[in-house]
Amino acid sequence: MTDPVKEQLSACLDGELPEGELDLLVKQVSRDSQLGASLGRYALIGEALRGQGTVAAPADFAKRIAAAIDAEPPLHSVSPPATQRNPAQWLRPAAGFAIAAGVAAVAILTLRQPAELPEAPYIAQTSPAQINEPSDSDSASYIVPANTASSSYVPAARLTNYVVAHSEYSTPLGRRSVLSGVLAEGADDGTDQSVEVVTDEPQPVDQPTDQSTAPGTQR
Amino acid sequence: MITARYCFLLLMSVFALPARAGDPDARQWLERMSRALAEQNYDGKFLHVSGERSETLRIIHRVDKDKVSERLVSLDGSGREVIRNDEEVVVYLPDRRTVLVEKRTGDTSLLAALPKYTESLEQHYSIEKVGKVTKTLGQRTQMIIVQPRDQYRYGYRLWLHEETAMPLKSQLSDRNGHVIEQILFAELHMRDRIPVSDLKPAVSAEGFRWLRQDAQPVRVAGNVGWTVIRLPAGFRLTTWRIQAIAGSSAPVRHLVFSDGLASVSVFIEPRAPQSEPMHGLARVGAAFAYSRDLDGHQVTAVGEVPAATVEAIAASVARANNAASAPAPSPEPLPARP
Repeated sequence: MTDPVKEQLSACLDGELPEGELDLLVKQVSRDSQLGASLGRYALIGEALRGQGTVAAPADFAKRIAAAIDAEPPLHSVSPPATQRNPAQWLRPAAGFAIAAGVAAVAILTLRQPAELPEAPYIAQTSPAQINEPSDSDSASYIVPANTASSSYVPAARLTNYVVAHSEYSTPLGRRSVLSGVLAEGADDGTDQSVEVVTDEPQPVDQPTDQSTAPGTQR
Repeated sequence: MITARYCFLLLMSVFALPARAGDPDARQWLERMSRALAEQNYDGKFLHVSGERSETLRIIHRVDKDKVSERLVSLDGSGREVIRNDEEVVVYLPDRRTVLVEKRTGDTSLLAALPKYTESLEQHYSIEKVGKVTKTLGQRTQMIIVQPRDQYRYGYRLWLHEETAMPLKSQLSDRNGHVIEQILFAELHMRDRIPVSDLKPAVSAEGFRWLRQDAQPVRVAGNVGWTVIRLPAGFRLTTWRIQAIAGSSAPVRHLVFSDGLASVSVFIEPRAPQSEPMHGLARVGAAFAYSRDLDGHQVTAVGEVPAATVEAIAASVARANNAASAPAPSPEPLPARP
């Protein structure tokens, strides 16, 4: 394992890895057989504990994952300076990452007919995403404030209804995305706030050249 | 030797520059993907990464005699599920002891609602097939990039399985390429058939609060009474209906706008006198919602689009001047700022 990977892994376990770096980390993990094997093991533990996937993880899941992580010297040694961490806080990122590492290694895919998967003449490790990186990244066209408020006028349940009703008119891809969001949002915070409410209105950065023609974006 | 290989890869990447815009082959890949997602039987597990959150989900999609049913389950402890079929969409939220039931009001089956990716889509997105088939997640995949041409819609990067066109990896990104959400399949099994029992919820919803609205309002004669004066370029009204929505006491007017890929719903319902008006922006996963109070009605625009889009559309809702007319089919578009 290289140092940057250790740092990223550490950040990931702390839930502090910027989303853009996850991809990179996944790629590196896929090249590092030792790291991949360790994480693959966690993924297997998670899968085994989850059984058919619909059974909630047992109460000692966090402890067992923690024990597994402690048993790994490379991971243990790169842990950040001891801070009081609630296992529940980093369990989810850790478990999620483990699955991601499993993904990086290989996606298990079975086809209805036994498929012949001919060996690729080359295995390109270049990411097409990097080839096509958009050059225009100077400013976002809008900014969504990160600060949120738990007291708001937008009831969570009401918006969930709308979002579900809307999803029926999305494309298959859009629908999966929207419904995944419904399942994931606020599921672990124990509050009745399934919807993240942004109190500040977004401020457009690049104002329309002719504001009179864009009533929706005027202030 | 290693250097030589990297040079080779570098060369490959140069030759793999995207084809010019308007690639019908790329659009065909998108259509193949949509058909595969809708028409095949499959059972898979994927990681859904959004911001700092990641969630493992299982999807089971069953097609039997043109009847589609689908189950999406959170594997990360909350036990949340969405089960949809031709009649209804049921959302189980065991962590809240709540079940939401949305009756589908459409006349069309789930299979009939497949999008068509025509050339007109190229006005608002560049759709490109990038490079040759490469390996992603250990599988042979073709990458397709859908890049929005303005700030009112999102783009996609898709890694489609060469044989089945199933998206093994997909990224939702904004116009500047910033990834908003990522879906990575860890397992995907294409099946000949899927037993009905796989579509049953794992949670016992006994004692839960059920939010449902079974009585369907009768569709009134061709008039929704509301319109959207200005829409972001390319968005057109595709359908509208008056429908019952769980949790709403009165029938809700539901207008659907689409640019051919992204869609935005506008919900308009009379506000109950004692209820506080909702105002502002909210987010559910990759979807934004913008709510405002208008003329004693609650107006909410929802869609898997940037915040600016739902806000612009919600701000532009108005009562239709001519009560006899249906909503204008193609209102004057908002200017795009490429």
